[in-house]
Amino acid sequence: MIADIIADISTVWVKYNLTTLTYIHLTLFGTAILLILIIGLPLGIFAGISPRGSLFIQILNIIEMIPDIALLLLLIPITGIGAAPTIAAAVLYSLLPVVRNTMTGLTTIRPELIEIGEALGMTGREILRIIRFPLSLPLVAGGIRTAVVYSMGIVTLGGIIGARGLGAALQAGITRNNMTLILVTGLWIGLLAVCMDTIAGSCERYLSRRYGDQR
Amino acid sequence: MISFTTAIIQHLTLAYSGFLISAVIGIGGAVVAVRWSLMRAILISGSSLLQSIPAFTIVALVVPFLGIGFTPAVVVVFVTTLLPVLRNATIGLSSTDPVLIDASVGMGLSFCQTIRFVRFPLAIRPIFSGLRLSSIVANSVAVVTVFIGSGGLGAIVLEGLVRFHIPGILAGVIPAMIIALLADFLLGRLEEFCAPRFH
Amino acid sequence: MNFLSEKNDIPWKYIESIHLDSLTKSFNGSYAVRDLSLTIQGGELIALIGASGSGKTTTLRMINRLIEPDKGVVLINNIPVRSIEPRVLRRSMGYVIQQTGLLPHLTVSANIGLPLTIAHTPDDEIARRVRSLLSLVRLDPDTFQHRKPAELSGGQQQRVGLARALATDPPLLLMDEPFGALDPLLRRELQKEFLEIKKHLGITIIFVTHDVHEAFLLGDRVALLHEGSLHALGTPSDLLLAARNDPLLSYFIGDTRLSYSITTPVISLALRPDEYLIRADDMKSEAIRSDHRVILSFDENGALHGSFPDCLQSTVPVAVAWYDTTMHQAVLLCTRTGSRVLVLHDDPGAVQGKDIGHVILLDDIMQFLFGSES
Repeated sequence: MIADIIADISTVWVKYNLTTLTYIHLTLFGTAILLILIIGLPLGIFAGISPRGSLFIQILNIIEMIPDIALLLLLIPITGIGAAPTIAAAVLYSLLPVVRNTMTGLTTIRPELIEIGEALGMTGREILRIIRFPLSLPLVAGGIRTAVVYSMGIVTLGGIIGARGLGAALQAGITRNNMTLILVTGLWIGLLAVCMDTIAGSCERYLSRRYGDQR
Repeated sequence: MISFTTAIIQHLTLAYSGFLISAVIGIGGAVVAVRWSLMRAILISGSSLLQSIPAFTIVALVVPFLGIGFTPAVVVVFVTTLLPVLRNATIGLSSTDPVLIDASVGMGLSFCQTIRFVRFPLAIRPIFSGLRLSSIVANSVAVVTVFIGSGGLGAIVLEGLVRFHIPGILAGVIPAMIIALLADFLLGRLEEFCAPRFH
Repeated sequence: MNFLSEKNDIPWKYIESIHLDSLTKSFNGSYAVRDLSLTIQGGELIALIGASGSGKTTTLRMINRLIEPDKGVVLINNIPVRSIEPRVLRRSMGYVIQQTGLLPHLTVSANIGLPLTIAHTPDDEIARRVRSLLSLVRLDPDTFQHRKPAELSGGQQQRVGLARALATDPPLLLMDEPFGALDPLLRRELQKEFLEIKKHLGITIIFVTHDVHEAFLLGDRVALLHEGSLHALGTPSDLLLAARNDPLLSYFIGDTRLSYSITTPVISLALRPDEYLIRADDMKSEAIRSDHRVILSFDENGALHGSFPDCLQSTVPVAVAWYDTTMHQAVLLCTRTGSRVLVLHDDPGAVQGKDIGHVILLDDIMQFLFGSES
C-alpha cells in the first residue's frame, strides 16, 4: 500500500517536474522577501522617525484592502504576465505589515528609555541605533512573518498567470482532473508554507526573548 | 460568455455565504473556547498554522474530496475565511482583563452573561478586525475558485486571461475590488455601531 | 579620572556654582516653575522638596536642557547652559530617574558602560570602569555584570542606574526621586549607602524628592518649592528653626523633627569636665564628636542605660528617657546635668551591650523639640 503511494507520488513528481517548479517557486518567494526587506525596513524606519509616518501608513492601508488576486491581476497591464507581476504584487502587498510593524515598534518604546538616551547626550541616530531599533525587533519580526505568509500565497497564485512555480502544477492538476497531482502539490505547498511560517515564528520568538521589553 | 450581472450575483453569493457561515462558526467556536482552555490553545496555534497555507492550495485540495462546482467553492471560501475570524475572536474573547471577569462573576453573572456583557463588547475590535480581513479574503478566494467551476467574476477574469484581453481581466477584477472595499466600509460602520463607548 | 574634558567642549571640570536665575516655565497655560532663583554651591548635595506639581522635576530638567525655560537662565560656573550644545552638556551630567530607564535588552555592564561607549572609550577601559562602578554601588561585578535589568530587583536596578550616571565621572549628578518606587526599608538602606557614596565622591548633586526625611538625611541644604517658586532654602537645621514661624514650612516638614539628624560639620559640643553642655555651632568639636559611639545596655531590671565611652577619660552615665525603634533613635537623659542628647542609631535591632551608632547633639533644636524643659 505504502509502496504504491510512494510510487504514485514519484510518478507525478517526475512527470510534472515538481523539483524544478519547487525551485522556481522558492526563488520567486526568496526574491520577493529580499525585496520586501530591502524596501520595507528602510521605509518602516522612515515612517517611524518621521512625523508624517501615520499618514504614510494610512495610504498603504488602502493597498491591503484590495484582495491579493486583484492586485496581482491589476499589475498585468503594467508588467505583463509571469514572474514580474507576481513578485511586484508580493512586495506591494507585504509592504504594509512590515512598514506598519516597524513603525509601531519604533514609536511605542517606553518614553523614559528615550529620555535616558537624550539625557546621556546621545544623537538621534545613536538613539535609533542603540535603543529604538533593537527594541522594535520583535514587532518587526512579526511584520516579516506576515509578509512571509502573504508572499507565499501570492507566489502560489502566480502560477495561474504564468509565473510557473508550484501554483502552475496545482492548476494543471485541476484542469486535468489529476487528483494525485493536486494532493501531492497541495500538501507539498502546504508543508513549505508551514515551514516558512514556523521559521519566521521562531525568529519572532527568539527576538521577543532577546529584545522584548517585558515590563 | 457569462453575463456580467450573473457574474456579480454569483460572486456575492459565493463570497458572502461562505463568509457568513464562517463568521457564525468562528465567533461561536471562540465562545466555546473561552471555557475550554485546551481547545483554545489548539484553536489559536492551529489556525495560526493553517493560515499560512496559501488560499489557492486550499482551493485545489478541496477537489479530490468534494469535486468541482459551486458548493465545493463555498466550502473553500468558508475554510479560508474561518481562520482569521476564529483566531481573532478566540484571542479577543479570552484576553479580557481577569479583574473584570472576577468582578462580574462576583456579582453573580452566569457564563453566558459574562460573554454578553463583558467579554463580547470588549472584544468587538479584534473580532471585527478578523471579520474585515476575512471579507477581503472571501473576495479573493471567490475569484480564484473559478478554477474549480464556481463561475462568478472569476469567470470573466479567466476569459480575459486566456485571450490575453486586458479589458476583460479588468472587467472581472475591478468589480471584485469595489465589492471588497464596499464590504470593508460597511463592516467598519457596523463596527463603530457595535463598539462600546467609553465616555 | 575625568572622561569628558579631554574630548568635549565642556568648559568646566568642576562645578563651582550653579545659578538658577528667575526660571519660568509653563505648560498648557499654567505655571510649572515661576520666577525661581536659586544658587547651588559646588560640592554640595541640595535636595529639592515640595508637593507634587511644585516644579521640582521641571526645574531639574531645565538644568540638562531636557526642558527649555520660557524665561530666565541656568548658569553653571557663570556660563549659560544655553550656550553649550545640549548633547555636550548632558554628557557632563549624570541623570538618575525613578523608573531607572535601564535598557532592557542590554546587560548590566552594557547599560552602565553606555555613556562611555558613546564617548568612544576603548573597550578594556570600559570594562574596568564598569567593574569599579559596580563595586561602588555594592553589587558584585562577577554576579551582576551579565544579567539583564529584568532579572534584578528594584533596589538593584536603582544601583545600576546610579552606576550608569557616574560612568563618565561627571562633576554634577541630577537625581529625580531615585528611591521613590522602593519600599521603605529598602529605601532606608539605599539612602544610607548613598550617603557614603556621596561623601566618597564629593561631587555636586541636585536631588529631587518628595520625602522630606530623605532630603534632610542626604541634603547639605534643602530647598522647598511651592507652586513653582522657592519658598524656603537652607540647611536642614535652618529649616527646622524657620519652621517655627512658617506655617507652610512647618506643615511640610511635619514630623521630620523627630527623625532628623544633623551630622558633623554643623554640630559640635563644648564640654566642661564635670557636666555636659550641649551647644550647636559650626566648629569642629573637641570632645564629643558625632562619630563617638554610644553604648546602650539593659540592666538586670530591664532598664536601659547608656554611656559614652570615649569622652573625657570617663564614662558618663545616662539614662534613656525615650526610645523609639521605628525612628531609630533614643533620647538620653544625662542623669547628672539633666541635659538631653538625641541619638540616632543604625541598627534597630541592636540593643544588648552593642555599639549602636552616632551621637547627634542638638541645642536650639532640642529647645524647639521639647520646649524649655531642663
